[in-house]
Amino acid sequence: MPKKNKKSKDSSKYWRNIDQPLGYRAETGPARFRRWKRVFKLWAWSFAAVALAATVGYGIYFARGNMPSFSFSKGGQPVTEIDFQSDGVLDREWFHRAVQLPAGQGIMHLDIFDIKAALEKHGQVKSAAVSIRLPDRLIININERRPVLRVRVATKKGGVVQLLVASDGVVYLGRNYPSAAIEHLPYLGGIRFKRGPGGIEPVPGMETVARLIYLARLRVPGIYKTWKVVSCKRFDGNPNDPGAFIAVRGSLIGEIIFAPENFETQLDRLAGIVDFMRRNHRQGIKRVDLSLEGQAVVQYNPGRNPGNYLH
Amino acid sequence: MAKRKIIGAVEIGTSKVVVLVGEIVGDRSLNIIGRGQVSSYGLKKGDIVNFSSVSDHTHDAILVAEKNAGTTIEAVYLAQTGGHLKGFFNKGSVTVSSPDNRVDKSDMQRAVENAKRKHLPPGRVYIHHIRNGYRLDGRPVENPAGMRGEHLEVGYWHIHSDEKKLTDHIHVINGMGLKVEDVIVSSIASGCIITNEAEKKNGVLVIDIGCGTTDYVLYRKGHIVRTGVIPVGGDHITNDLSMGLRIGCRHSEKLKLRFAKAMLDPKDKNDHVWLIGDMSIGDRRIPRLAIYKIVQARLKEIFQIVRDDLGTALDSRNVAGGVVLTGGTSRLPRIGTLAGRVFGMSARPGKPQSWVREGMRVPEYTTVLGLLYYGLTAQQSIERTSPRRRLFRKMAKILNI
Repeated sequence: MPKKNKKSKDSSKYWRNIDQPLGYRAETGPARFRRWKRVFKLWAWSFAAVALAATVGYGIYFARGNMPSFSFSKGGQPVTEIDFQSDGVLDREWFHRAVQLPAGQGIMHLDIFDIKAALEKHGQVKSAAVSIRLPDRLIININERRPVLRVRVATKKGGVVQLLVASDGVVYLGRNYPSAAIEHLPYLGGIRFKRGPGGIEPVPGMETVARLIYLARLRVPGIYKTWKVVSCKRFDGNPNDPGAFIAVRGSLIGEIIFAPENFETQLDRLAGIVDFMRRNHRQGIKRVDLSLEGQAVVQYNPGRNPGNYLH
Repeated sequence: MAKRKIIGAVEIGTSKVVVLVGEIVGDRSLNIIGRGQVSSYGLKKGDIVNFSSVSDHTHDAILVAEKNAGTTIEAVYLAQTGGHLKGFFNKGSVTVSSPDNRVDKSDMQRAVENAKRKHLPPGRVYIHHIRNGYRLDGRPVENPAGMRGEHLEVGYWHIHSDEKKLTDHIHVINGMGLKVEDVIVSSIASGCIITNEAEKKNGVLVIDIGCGTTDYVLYRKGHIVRTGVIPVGGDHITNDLSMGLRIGCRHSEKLKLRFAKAMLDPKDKNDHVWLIGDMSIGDRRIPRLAIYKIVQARLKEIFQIVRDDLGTALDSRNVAGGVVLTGGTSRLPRIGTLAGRVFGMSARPGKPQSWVREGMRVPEYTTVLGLLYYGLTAQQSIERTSPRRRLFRKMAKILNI
């Protein structure tokens, strides 16, 4: 194997002194192909390196909390319009009282889930839908509970407050109701309220009572108007309980006893009794028991009527 | 991670261009990962006569090899042959300078400089300076450093080339955007791959009979003592057949490959062969004896020229390893017998060393395999590039550009 001469330049002439030009124009097809391939690879790698560096740089910049100043990054524009809609009596003023929106806060910084929770904390609100529409609009849709009965409850301070009872048994403080809508509601009686962490717990069996009231308003509105108290003392929500009944006390009839089912028949029978009484110029029914199957027991006030009848 | 370098071995021959792509891993192992071979036009007896055509075919072969390897070549080791290659022996001698006659590095360095001091005629450039070993007070020594003596000699076999012809070869490679890392004479490349160290120590003559030229290298005592190129090769046998049998070159090449033998074979010397073999117009019977005589005459002449060139350097007592033949023409049957008769010593067709894959162990690839082997050993020598350049090379290697 020949040894390489490190001092080649010292000797006469060595082949390594021959100039090797690599940069001149490629003359053959394969050489041009190879050169372009090399240039393309160089560009591709350069581009990839720049892209990688940019990505890393941006990542570091982002990680340091320097978000670029897009408009939404500062929370967007403040809320300038609140689109409030409710299927009940609550209005925009009530919303402002119920939810304190910070003044001038960007819409993107609003926590719509917090707003929804704050709205649904009120018993009158059955469900709330909160959404935003960029750039500056907050949209609220409220589904309210309907009052079926009312109830007077003693407060801790010794006062008395009037609460409303919805068909799902929720007891709540009614807001914005016109007095005409509340005044005719009968009171709920015979119930011992239970207090839970979220306030008074829902009253069981109110669906059944609400159906009785709904049918009474529909079928015997004249009689319903005289109802003062609906007592659920003997009704715990189970309509199959053999001893269960709903007692209604009113000004026309002292007490009406309803079985917790088949209200249409019972109300029709009640209407018939009242009609019979009027046609025969009789007054002062003390008690009507409609809970007995196929018949009703009517008890008149003593001295004013001849005796008790079975209808 | 082990250092990895992709090198290309390129042999621009008279009949074909062969490119091998090698992967040198950790300066220790060599994997052959790609190969490209394309027919060559535009060379005559190893010299470029049509630069454009040679560039086209060489670049094609490089591209094929790179595609085959799936990577790009970083540096090229180029084989060099042709009648323009010459060599001469020159000695450098110094008197040992230290008072206690102990040889030190500076004495050796001065001897080497003296040996290489000879100036070449204009238009000639050195390719190799091959050291033949030291002599201290007339006795041969491997490494004289630290030994006592008065007179130190070192012999060098210098190979030089025509500058313009060599530049043409180098610029063909440069045209592909590649730099020639080293130029190696074909015979040296072939010799290092088909002979082992023991044969080199005992003395061996390697003859590479190519298409246009015949290259030879003589090893003695482990050193290269002579190299040479004869501008006669396998093509001349084809021409002789064509002229002697009055047939076209295409048919004579076919006859040479199918029926030629280097020596008369008594078993079939009275047989005839068909020129074409399909009884078409022009097809005719040719006596085997005629083919054998023509081939034998030319090969004998080639061997005689080599023998005469070597002169007294070729002494059977110093060349115990005999003659090893390689190159495409060495495939001819009975060529070893003929060579043995001419040189008066044992002769045989050579095979590359056992670590070469079976499919590559053919005479046509001997030179390029030798170039790769040379590239591996050169890689193990001192890296001469600057750190900055090395960094750029590493980057380019990672990016495969």
